[in-house]
Amino acid sequence: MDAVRFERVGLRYGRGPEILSDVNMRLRRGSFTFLTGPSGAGKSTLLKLCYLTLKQSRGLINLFESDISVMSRAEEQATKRKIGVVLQDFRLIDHLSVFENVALPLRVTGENRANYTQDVVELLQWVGLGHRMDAMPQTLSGGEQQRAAIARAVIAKPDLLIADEPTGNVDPAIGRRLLRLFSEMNRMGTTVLIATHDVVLIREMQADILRIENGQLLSGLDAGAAI
Amino acid sequence: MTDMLQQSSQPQPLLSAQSDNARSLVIVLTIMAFLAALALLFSLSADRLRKDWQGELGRSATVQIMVDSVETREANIQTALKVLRPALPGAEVKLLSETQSKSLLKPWLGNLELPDDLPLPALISISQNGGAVISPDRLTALLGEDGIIAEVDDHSRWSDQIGRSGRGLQAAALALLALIFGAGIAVSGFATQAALSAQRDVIRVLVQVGAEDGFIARLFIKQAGIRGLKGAIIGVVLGTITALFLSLRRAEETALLPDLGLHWTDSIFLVFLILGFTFICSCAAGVTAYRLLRRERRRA
Repeated sequence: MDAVRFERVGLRYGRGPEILSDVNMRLRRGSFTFLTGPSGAGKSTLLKLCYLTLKQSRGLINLFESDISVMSRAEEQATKRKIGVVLQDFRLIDHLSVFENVALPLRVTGENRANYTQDVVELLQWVGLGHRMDAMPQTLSGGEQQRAAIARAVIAKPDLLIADEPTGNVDPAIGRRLLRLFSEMNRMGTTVLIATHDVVLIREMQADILRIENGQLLSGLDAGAAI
Repeated sequence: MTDMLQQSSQPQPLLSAQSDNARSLVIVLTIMAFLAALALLFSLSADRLRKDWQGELGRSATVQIMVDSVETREANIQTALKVLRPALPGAEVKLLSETQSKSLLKPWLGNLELPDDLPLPALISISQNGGAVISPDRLTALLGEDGIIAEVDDHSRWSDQIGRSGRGLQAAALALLALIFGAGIAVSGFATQAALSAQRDVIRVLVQVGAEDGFIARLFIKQAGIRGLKGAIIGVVLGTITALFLSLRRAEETALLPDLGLHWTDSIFLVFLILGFTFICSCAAGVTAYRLLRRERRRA
């Protein structure tokens, strides 16, 4: 069973050149994969296709065995609720506290607040933000914002976790802790896809590696050799 | 831990109240609700006034007895009174004196001295204290059976004119009310459009975490409803105070304004006005939000 499957996927903006070209990719359910490549190679664009912010220009994308090109809006949103996303710009909502930001994925599903309060608090403590849960995002450091964004991505126990440079703004100790969190989630069945430049991070994990260069995806040994 | 849980027990609103012109919108809605309240109270008052006037006119009539000669005048008058009194039990039936009859001619003849032997018709005034409206045809027929030639004026010409004027005023007030509601819908729609634009980042995050269009639209519906309710309550209270102030000034003092008499039942209509205002603001916001979210999706 695949969590993500790309077949000959291409993406272009308007009539411009293809940013991604003939991308074939399979992420098995429960797999842990790193996506690497130089800046501008198309890592973030590939991730955007995975978390449904962009639509491919051609080719087939299946998420959880469903073709995204024929999904209704409701199905698309339901699929998004199965995906946790950590972006480089964090996208925390400024007028909501850290607690509210992290609880957001549960709140939009109509979950009873009493049912998730404890989970949110525990997760915030796990990522080292237990003391900042009522703080507003503007008052957090970059690293704290990143941890809040990660907590928001994992709070709903997603089937697929996508992270774009998740350890870019945190010190090594926190980075290792976050990696343990991802690893723990993966152990519980979440498929994890992380785009990173962090070679140390990649070496610490026994994980699949995908490498993207100039919009073309390399994988397996080729990718490993490139690292 | 308990403290932390308590601090987080109240959910924060997902839409920022500061990011759009909430205060300006509430002020605009307040002004519209104020005008709507005045229009509504004016319409209710005009209707009440019309019914009062028409009721008063319908319960009174003037019987004009044609007099052939001075000799038969008194006999005819007595016969007419004998016919009318039992026919209208409970009504005040009284003969107008000659002086009163002459004074009724003043608007037409001015202050001319009228000769004493001028054969003026005898006038009998009828005032019903309630109950059935006077039927001129029936009274004319009853008097005719006893050989009295009479003309019964039930003031229906005036009553119809007053009715038409009153209904016209009421229709104008209701049209004004409808226009204000229409403007309320437009204002709420524009405000939602602006709010959607101002809260684009929030919506982007909500869409990313899987919020349905309905969930997002409901946030705007709630926000617009609260603003509409706030504006409507303030506007209606101010409108009612203004109407009360105007009602204290009698029509005679103001010359142009009719008596704006308020009644406690008006408050029921005002409550409906507040609810209606809140409802249209919410609906306009909901429709706008759904439409724009769908358009965004198509664009994406």
